[in-house]
Amino acid sequence: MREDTHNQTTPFQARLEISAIAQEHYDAVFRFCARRVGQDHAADAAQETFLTAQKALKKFRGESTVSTWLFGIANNECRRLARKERLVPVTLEIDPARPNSEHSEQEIVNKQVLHDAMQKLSPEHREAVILHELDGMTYEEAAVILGVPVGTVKSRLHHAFMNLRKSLYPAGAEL
Amino acid sequence: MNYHEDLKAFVDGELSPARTEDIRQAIARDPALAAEVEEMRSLSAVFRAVPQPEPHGLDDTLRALRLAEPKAARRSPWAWWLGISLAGAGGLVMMLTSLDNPGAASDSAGFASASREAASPMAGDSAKENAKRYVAKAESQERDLSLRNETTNKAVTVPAPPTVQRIRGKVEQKQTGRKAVEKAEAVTPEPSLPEVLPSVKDEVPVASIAPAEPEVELKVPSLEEGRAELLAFATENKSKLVESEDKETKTLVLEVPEDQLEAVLAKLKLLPKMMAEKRKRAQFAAPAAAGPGGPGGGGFGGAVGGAGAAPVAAETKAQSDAKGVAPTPKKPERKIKIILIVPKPAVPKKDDEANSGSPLAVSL
Repeated sequence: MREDTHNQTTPFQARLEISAIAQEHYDAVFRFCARRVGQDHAADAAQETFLTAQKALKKFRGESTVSTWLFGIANNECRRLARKERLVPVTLEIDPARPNSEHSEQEIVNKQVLHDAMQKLSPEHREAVILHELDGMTYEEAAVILGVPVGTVKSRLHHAFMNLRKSLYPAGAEL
Repeated sequence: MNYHEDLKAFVDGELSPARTEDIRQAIARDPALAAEVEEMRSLSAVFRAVPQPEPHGLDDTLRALRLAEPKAARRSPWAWWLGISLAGAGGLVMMLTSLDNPGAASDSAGFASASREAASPMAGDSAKENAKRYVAKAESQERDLSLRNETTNKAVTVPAPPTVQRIRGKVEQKQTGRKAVEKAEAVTPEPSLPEVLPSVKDEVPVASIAPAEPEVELKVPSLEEGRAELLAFATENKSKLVESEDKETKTLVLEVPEDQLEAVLAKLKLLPKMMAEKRKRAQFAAPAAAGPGGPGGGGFGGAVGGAGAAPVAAETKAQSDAKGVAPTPKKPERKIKIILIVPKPAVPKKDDEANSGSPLAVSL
């Protein structure tokens, strides 16, 4: 992930710049939420994330980047929303009604297969995969968001990929 | 050494340089490890190929953030200065008002000081006088308030605004008795006319807003005599007696110039006495000519010849209606409602009833 310039911001300055923070990080937070609760609920989850962040800004000490801090809040908001709305975990939204010229039919099939494979993962493994592979976070950032050691993230990712290989490349997984 | 568990971290570049070098050498030696790394890289490529969701709703979020912004953070520094300035200006206005009207401002202070002085062992006559003065003032204010309320209630039968009624209801619920009502009135004073009128002007006729007619009760020997005497009285006092066509009615209305209302009222109260005196004089002066109770019997003061002889100033309501409105602008007039009270005739005794057919009995 790119360097965040807000990690040096004092709480007071950050409070004054909540709108600027939202404008800068909204897209990333929205996508983060969309991968967890779906496109339809992503805006709500993102808004709740920033409202929670607004209340908690004075507690933010700048120990992590603002984006990591926001993703942590967003992760909790998505869990809360998924529980409240009884949402099915969404990892890869595939919409055949909106064909994209950049993606071939084969890619859509691949995504469907990938989606199915992801659904077979345990929630912890799936979460680690989404954070690293889809959200583009480092192990350390994922560890901060999940509240686990970096080694745990590494381990979860390893096992998650082993399972994914078994689903996607049955022949290769036997190796 | 197990390289298998670090392959994913190797692909992601999350290993230390030394460990990365070890894995690289292991992959070079082992084709199975190299194939596994290749599969992981292709799998990651599939994830990266997943299209990003299209964000929307930033404006709503910014609006929500603005609305949820704490008031303290929203308040700009100039708002503090504005608040302080307004408070200062308000204080200055209050101070100037109290200087202009020291009586109003010093009422409470004066009462307090008077009480203090009265309570003091060194209190002299001045303290007592002060206390008395303030008590008298409070009483007169209370009287004024009750009078004003009475007048207002008579003149305008407009219900108080819902807020006032609600507050009054609450107060009356908590307190009962006369004092409670007085307190309620003090807490929720009647709305003044200008406050009430705009909201109900379509419903309340203008005439009903005028002050109530004063009422005077006059004891007269008979309706005819009373009416005749009032006609004479109206002529003397430049007033107009408006009679009903129904001669049996006991209620008359005297239209009086507004500036003479008080004087006429005072004279009216003396009228029964004057009538009695005139009657006595008339009886002494011409006992033979004036038959007792006769309709045309000399009248009271000789000004009136009887019910049928109406003076020029007096006219019936029907006549005044027929003439129409006078072209000259009228002076403001007030109406006095006069109720004639005729004493009931004495109930004849049984003996009288028995001899009722005898003329002797009547004359006796």
